[in-house]
Amino acid sequence: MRLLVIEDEPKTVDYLKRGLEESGFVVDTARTGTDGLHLALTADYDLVVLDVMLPGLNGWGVVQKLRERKSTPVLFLSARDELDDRVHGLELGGDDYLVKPFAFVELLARIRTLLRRGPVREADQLTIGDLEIDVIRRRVRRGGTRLDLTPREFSLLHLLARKRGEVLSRAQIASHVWDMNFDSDTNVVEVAVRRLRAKVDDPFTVKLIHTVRGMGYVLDTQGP
Amino acid sequence: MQRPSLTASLAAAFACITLLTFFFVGRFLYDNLRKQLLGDQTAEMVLKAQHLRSLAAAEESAVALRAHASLIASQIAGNDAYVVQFRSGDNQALLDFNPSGLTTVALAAVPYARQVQASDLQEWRTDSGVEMHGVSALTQLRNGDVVTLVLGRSLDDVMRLLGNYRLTIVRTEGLGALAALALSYVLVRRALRPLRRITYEAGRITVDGLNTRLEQNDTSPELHDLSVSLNGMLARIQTGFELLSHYTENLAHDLRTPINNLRGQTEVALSRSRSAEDYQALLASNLEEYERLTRMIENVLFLARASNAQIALRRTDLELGEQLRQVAAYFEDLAEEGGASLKAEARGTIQADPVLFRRALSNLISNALRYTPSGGIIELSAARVTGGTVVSVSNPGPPIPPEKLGKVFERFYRGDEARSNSADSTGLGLAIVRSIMDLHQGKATAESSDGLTRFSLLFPD
Repeated sequence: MRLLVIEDEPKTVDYLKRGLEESGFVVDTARTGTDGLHLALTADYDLVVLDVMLPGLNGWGVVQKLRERKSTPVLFLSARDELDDRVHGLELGGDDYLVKPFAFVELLARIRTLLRRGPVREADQLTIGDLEIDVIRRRVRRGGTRLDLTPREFSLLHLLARKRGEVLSRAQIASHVWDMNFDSDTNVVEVAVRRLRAKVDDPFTVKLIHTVRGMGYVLDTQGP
Repeated sequence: MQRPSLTASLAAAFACITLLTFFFVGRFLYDNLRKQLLGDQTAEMVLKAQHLRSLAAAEESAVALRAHASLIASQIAGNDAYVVQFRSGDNQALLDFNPSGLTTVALAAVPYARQVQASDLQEWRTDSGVEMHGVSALTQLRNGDVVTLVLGRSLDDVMRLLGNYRLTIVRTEGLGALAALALSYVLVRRALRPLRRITYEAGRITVDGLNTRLEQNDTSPELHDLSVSLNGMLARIQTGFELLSHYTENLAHDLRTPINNLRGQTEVALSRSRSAEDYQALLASNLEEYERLTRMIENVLFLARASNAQIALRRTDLELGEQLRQVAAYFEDLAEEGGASLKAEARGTIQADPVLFRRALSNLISNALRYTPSGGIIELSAARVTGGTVVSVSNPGPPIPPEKLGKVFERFYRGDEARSNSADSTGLGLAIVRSIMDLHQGKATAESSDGLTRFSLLFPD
């Protein structure tokens, strides 16, 4: 998967390139709107990450010109988050809008969502190592032992398993499991993960739920 | 388009009113005088006609009447305005006194058996345009002959008098109106002088001088009210401004703590070479501070937008039982960790924005969790009251002193100074609750007694 990052702030470009490359993407960068537009038009990218405030041609202009010829998905990055700005960005043909400062895992999640073409069929049965999740009957077994989870613990485990290998931020988890769509300053998610671990990981030698310090949680057979 | 000055338009209005009043008064006086003068004239004419008739009736014959011409003439002697004629039955002039050569017209004659009345008088104009009135009456002489008396009078002098009078009235009125215009201009200008003073004083008030007030005792009651209300506005702006600068100060202060942590721990870590684990720990710790900063920025922006009413409410019907249970479920584990528990009991629905409603409720619960002792129960409930629904969160815990109850919803207010550096509180949670309630035209209140603290949200219907 090849991405183009158009962003003028050098530090932002550096960490975006590094982070995205380490997540398995091929990343090209451009420092101005004009260069970025040229690259986006001449090469084939799967997605463009586009800053709104750019010298010369700004992000709105880039997406307008790009849309005249190509339908490459565009994800806007901006420090401005007034509703008007978001709406404007999406009206011009942007596909998503992320406000700075954002969690890097959030950016990854958005990029993956945009790259996923068409609706994904949810699996009825998930297997990660010796963990088996029966989504229909809402039953979980590990190493053949049935685990007794509360409905909320099940939702959390199901979410982590569905996004296997992806780091999920606390805000993402709160939004998916409890439908709390705002950044709360409580450590509810930590507590919930701790309780889930007590049932899913503590009795077993191989740990599946891993904490990525400062970023969130990931479920996989191997640590990040 | 600029409106004309208040002074000029008031002066013009006064002048117009004066002119109109003068016009009607003048017209009334003029009409009265005219009626009076013409009435006098008419009475005199009736009398004269009667008199002349009786003089003629005393004569034996037309010949005798002619012989007494001087007697008849003496009746109008010295007054050129009159014309007196006697005519015989075959319309021969018997007598004709007409010193001014006024033209008479044929008039319907009053029969000799009837007295002359005011209504018998008729008016006409001579060839030269002089206005006249007069009467014609038959008179029977002693020998039985009937002669016709024609008595006329020029109204020229009366009309001239009235004309002069009219001219005088118009001139006086014009001058009076002009005087009223000038006088009212001066008076209005004088009366509005305090207004210009207020304008001047208000123009000098700047952001640095919001404590300046307008002089309010030196004016008329109307302008006094204006000054008082402008001063009230200034006071409110000043309070708002002080709050805002206080808020900015607090914000800067609160930003220092995470930035100080970031800087300090990074400096210490870089001062010598460390293990990869140490660096990882540092970066992770930094990340926590960044998250805290991000949350603060988000909260501050939320408050700024809420107070500018820039947040669009998406009101829907919320089933309270479901909503309260859902939020309680979110905090359940966390409460249990601290040995507390949550109880949600509610029925009914409200009209509110679901995301904001949960946010308000979450902030109240996370505040309650901070103060609930182990074993305490946090209760979420809802009740119908007149005019709305009250959703409340109550918890056992240390009482909040009454003087602090009013302040808990202020930005950056922290009940417990020792906790002010607590990383899990931005000091904005309850301020956000209040602004969410403001957006819903509702009210957030707090009460504390007998070891129980209760925060209530009133959602009006």
